[in-house]
Amino acid sequence: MIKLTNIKKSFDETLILKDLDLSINKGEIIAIIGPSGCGKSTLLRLIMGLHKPDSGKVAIDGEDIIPMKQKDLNKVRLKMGLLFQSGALFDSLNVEENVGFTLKENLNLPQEKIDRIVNQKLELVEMSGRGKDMPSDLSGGQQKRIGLARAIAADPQIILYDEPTTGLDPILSTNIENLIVKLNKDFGMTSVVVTHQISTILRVAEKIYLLKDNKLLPPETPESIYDSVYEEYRQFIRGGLKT
Amino acid sequence: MFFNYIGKKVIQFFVDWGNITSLSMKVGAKLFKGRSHTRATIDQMITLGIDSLGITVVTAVFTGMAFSVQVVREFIKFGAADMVGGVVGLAIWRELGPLLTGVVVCGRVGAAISAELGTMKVKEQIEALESMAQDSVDFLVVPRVLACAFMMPLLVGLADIVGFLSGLLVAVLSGNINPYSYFGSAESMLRAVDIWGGLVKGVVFGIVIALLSSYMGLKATGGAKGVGEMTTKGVVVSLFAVFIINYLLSIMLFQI
Repeated sequence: MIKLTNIKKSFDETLILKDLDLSINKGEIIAIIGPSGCGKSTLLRLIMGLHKPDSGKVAIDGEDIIPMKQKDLNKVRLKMGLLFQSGALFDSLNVEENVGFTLKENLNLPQEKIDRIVNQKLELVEMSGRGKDMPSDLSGGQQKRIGLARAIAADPQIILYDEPTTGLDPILSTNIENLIVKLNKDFGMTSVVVTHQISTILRVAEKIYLLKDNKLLPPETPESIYDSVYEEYRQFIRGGLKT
Repeated sequence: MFFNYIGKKVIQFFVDWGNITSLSMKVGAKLFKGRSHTRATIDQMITLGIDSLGITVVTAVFTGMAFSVQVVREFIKFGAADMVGGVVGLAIWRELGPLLTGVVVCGRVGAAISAELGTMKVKEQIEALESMAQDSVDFLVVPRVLACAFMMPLLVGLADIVGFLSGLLVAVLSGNINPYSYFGSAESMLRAVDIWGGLVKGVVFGIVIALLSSYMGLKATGGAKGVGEMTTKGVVVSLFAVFIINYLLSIMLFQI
C-alpha cells in the first residue's frame, strides 16, 4: 500500500535520509522509532507528499506521488490522515469546525451529516461536548485528541501518527493507543506511528523500525525487540539510545 | 566578508522576486480556476477592511487639516485664496489620500496578514491544510488579496472625502475662505482622472500589500521570533512597494 524506494532527503547541507526503503502492506500497523531529529517526522511528510525527496520514489497504492500534479496528489491525500505532533488545529475555527473541516471542504457533506460524524469522532477521542470550544481553550493533550479526531474524520485508508501519545497522561495515553489499534482492527486503517513512547510501540505496533544514520534498520516485533540482533533496538527499548 | 554578505543579499532579493512573481501568478490562476472565494473574501473584508476604518479616518482628518493650514497661509500671501480648495483637492485625491491610506493599510492590515499566516506556518497549520487536500494559496492568500483589492479603493475614497472636508474646515476657520469658493475651485481644477486615478492606486496598493504580506507570512520559520521578523519585513517591503508604485502610477495616470 505504501512503498518508499531509495529515498534521499536533505535540508540545505544536512542529509536526513539516504537509500531508505520501506514497504507497508494494507492494514498493517508499524512504528518508527529513533533519536530526536533523525527524520521520523520527515518520513511521514514524504508519505503525505508535503515534502519531496531529493531522489527516490514514494508510491501509494502503486502510484508514484512525486511526479503527480497538485490535483492528483490531493486525490491521494484524501485517502490519508495525518495527526501532527502539535495537533495543528486551525486557531480561527472551533473544535467542531476543525474536526468537520475535510468533510465540508472536500466531501461537501450536508451539515446534518457533518455534525453527526463530528460528534462520533469527538466521542471516540473522549472530547464529547467540547465542540464549541476554540483551540486556545484546550490543553496540549486535548488539542492532540481533537487533531486525531480531525485526522480520522473522513475514515481514511491510511493514517499517519506523529507522536500521538507524547505529553498525554498514562490513562489517556493508553486510551489513544487502544483507539489506534481499534481503528486498525475495525476499519482496516493502515497505520504508521512515529513515537518515542515505549508503551505505545509495544501496545500498537506489529512491526517496529528504527531510523538511525539516515536509514531504517530491518524491522523487529514487540516480542523480538528485546533480543534483537541490533544493539540499537536493545538500547532504545532499555532507554540507552541517545534521543 | 562584506562582499559575501552583499552577494547573499542580492541572491536572496532575486529569489524573493521570483517567488513573489510565482505567487502572484498562482493567485491569478486560482482566481479563475480555484474554489469559490465569496464567503472567505467577505470575512476578510470585514476583518481587514472595516477594522481599518477608524485609523484611516483619523489619518485623513489630520492630514487634510495640516495640509490646508500650510496652503491657506501661503496662498493668502499671494492673493490666491480662491485656489485653496482646488490645490487641497488635487493633493488629497491624487496623492495624499491613496498614499497615506496605503501606509495605514501596510501597518494595520499587512502586519495582520503576515502575523496570522506566519503563525499558521510555524504551528504546522499550513501543512495540516495541505495534508487535507487544500491548496494554501487558494484557501488563504486569494481571499486576502481579493478583500484588500475591494476594500482599499473604498478606504481611499473615504480618506479623500474626509481629508478634503477637513481641509475645508481649516480653510474656513483659519483663512476665512468662503466654502463656495473652496468647492468651486476644486470643481474647476479637479478632473475625473484625479478621482478615479486615486481609486485605481488603491486597488493596486491593496493587491500588492496583500501579496507581499502573505508571502512574508508564508516564509516564516522558527517560532515567535521568525513570525515577528517576517511581520516587520512584510510591513517594510510593502511600504517600499507602495511608495515606488505610487510614483510610477502618478506618472502614468496624471502626466498625460
